[in-house]
Amino acid sequence: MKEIKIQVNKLDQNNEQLKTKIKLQNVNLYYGNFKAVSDLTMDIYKNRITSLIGPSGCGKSTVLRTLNRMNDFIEDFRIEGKVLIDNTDIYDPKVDPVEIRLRVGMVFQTPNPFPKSIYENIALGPKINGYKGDLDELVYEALSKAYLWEEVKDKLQESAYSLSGGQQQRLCIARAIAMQPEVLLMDEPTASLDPISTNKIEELILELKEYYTIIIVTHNMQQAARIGDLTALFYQGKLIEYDSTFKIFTNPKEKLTEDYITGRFG
Amino acid sequence: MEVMPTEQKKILTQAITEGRDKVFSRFGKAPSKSFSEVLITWILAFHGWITVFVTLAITYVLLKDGIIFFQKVSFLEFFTGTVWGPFGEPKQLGVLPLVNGTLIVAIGAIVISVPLGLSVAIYLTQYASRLLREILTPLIEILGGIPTVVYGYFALDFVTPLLKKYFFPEIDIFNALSASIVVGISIIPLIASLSIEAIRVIPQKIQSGAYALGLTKFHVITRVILPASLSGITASIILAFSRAVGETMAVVLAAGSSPKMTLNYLESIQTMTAFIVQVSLGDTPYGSIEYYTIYAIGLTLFVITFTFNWFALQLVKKFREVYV
Amino acid sequence: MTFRPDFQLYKKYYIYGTIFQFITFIVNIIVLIILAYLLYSITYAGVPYITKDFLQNPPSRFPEKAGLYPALMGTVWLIGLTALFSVAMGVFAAIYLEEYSSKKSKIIELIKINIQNLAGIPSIIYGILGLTLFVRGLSLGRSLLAGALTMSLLVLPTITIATQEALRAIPDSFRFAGYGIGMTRWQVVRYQILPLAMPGILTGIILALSRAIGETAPLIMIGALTYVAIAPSSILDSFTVISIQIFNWTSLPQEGFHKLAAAAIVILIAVLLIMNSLSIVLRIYFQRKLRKIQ
Repeated sequence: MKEIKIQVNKLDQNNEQLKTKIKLQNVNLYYGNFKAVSDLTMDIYKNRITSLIGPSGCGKSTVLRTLNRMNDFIEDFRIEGKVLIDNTDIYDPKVDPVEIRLRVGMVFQTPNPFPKSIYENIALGPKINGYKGDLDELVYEALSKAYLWEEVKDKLQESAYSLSGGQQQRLCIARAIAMQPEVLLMDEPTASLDPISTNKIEELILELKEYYTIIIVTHNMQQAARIGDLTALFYQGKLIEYDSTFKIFTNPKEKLTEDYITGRFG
Repeated sequence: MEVMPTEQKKILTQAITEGRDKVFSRFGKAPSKSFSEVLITWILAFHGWITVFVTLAITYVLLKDGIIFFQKVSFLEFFTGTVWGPFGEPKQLGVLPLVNGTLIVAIGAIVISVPLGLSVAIYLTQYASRLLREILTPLIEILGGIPTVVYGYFALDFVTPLLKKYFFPEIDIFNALSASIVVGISIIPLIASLSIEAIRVIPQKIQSGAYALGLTKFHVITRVILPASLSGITASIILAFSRAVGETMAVVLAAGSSPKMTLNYLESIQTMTAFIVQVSLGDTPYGSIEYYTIYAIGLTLFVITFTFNWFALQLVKKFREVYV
Repeated sequence: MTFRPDFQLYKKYYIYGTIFQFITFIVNIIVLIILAYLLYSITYAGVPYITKDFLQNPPSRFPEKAGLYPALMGTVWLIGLTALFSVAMGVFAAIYLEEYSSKKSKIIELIKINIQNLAGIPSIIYGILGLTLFVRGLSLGRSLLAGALTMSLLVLPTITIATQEALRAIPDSFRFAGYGIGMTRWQVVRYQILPLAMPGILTGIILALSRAIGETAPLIMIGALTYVAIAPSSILDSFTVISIQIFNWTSLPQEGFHKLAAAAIVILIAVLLIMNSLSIVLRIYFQRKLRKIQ
């Protein structure tokens, strides 16, 4: 199939060299007999925001979940091909999925904080994974990074469910980044939120790319255009086009891409 | 296009302007106000309220004759007295030995059933395959369906001899331990099924969130799922305790009829329920103070179990509502 | 931030997890073993004593001659009468609470809570109620009628709750379909809802009655005698039931009677297993039916 390469000099305004964090090579993803994703080959670059867009059912969420092995929980899921993070095949039998998830964090479509206090939500992961330092400070840092600290600093012991939807989602982001992942996966993170919360979270994501490689699945094209550095369009399980966001939205190569961008389908 | 005949048009207009009843009155009463409909509604309503009557009846019966008892025996003596000897002379009517007996059997039953029932619930919800679940669940339910009189027989003829032979040679034929064990076994399904429900209501996305954070299954279960299902599990324990308190036949057959204040499980004791049965089986004359002890103890039993059940039901309601 | 997950720790947690899984699995096995031991030991003790004589004789002072007949008949009569009273009461009550009353009414909510509470009250208290109200109050004496009325009150909450759940399982679209063509409330219930809910309701009834068969304490309270020589022939006769016979024989010191108790238990459990299997089959049938219509 076509190899989709990105030219360095077309991409970054700062002309920075792109480094590959994740490599997918000829990946096929199956649910039982249904082929959800076909022959996917792409590189995902470090410290950039990559948006995966496409109509419902095109396989983008499946791809996302493959990157942190959350698809392992689905009984008849099968993968062919290689998924390399920092040149290690994460589906190699010797590799532990738990370790993958410690390095690759995830934020879900609808906020899913634990039925615990705000503090505990953030502190639980680090506590279990051997953090011996000051938990208060860790919680403070995570919440500050997620721009939630000011709003919750006086009610850390209250239940996470006392927060609004947008705050809960920021809490989930704070929880994920408290684990210091290298990659952050976000599955339609603002889909269930109002425009103001969406805005806040988008700004947050833009700032987070300084620390993490971010891959975001979104239904919302404008969101992809706003915050993605690179955008990949999927359709019926295939990668149609993958390029800098600027290029995709102003001068797409594929007709399908142009149709999707202009809203002719999906 | 058919034009509506004037007559029909007139009826229709009348219906709209004067209301449904008027129209139907030309043909008969509105169907939902017909005699049979109203009668049926009243019959059903009557039945709906029967259960209220039952509760009122129970309360009335227990209070009426219970009061007669308490006119002859002071509250203080009854609720703080540590000797129960209603058939001897002089009559000593302190209920504490019976409460003691009930409590040690109930607590013993809980000690056995909670770890077992919870483990069953955890295994079935977290580790077992669907097939295994379908097979094991009805089997465990069988334990709960065995009549308590059968458990009494089992305790007397099998459990006590076993205990005597291998563990406690000094054990009495009638003892609290055997009774605790079989009552505990009988309430395992209750704890298991309610705990399973408490675990099932936790949304899948919370579990996914925990795994995505890099937690192993062990911690997802022990640090996220179990704490979240705590109120449901507590409800199941309270209900099970209440059931153990009200347990009758197994303790009548296996625990004995010697009311005493003791913590020794190897001795024979008597529970509140067992005493009530003892009175019924005997020749207690109607109207005597011994007869009225049934009501006093029944009242105590009713208050205890009703209160515990009420708390448990509140907890159940709470855990069913938490995840909006 | 200075935190970095310790990438060695989770390996330790895998070990914990395996031990945990193993323990819970073993406990399940233990519970099954207990069940098996219970059933096996009683069956082994009792089956040899299930003879034709045993089933046809009345009880006696001599274990060799004693039989279960009056108790068997008494149980049949009692459950039959109990079913007669309680099924109608329970189903009607549930229909009223689920179909006829406002979901927002606090009173109805209280009634429903009350029913759940009644389901958890020790059976012996129903015995006290029966003794006072039916045996003494209505002067029915120690009769089948008094027993059946008492047991009806005992199983009433269970039948009501089971029927409520069966009714709730029917999607509202069926109700609206009926109302939409002008049916009255009762017509909707009778022609739309009840036929669909019937298997679920029957499941509940069978379960409630199977519990009633095993009940002993309330019947002792109302005076079902422990030594009854003949089967009942009218509802005002005194009677005994299998569970009381088991109790009686177990209480006697002679080993021979204990064996008879085991035999009676085997019969009782066999009946219960049949009833429960029937209710499971009905429940599966009900669930399949619901899935098809959705």
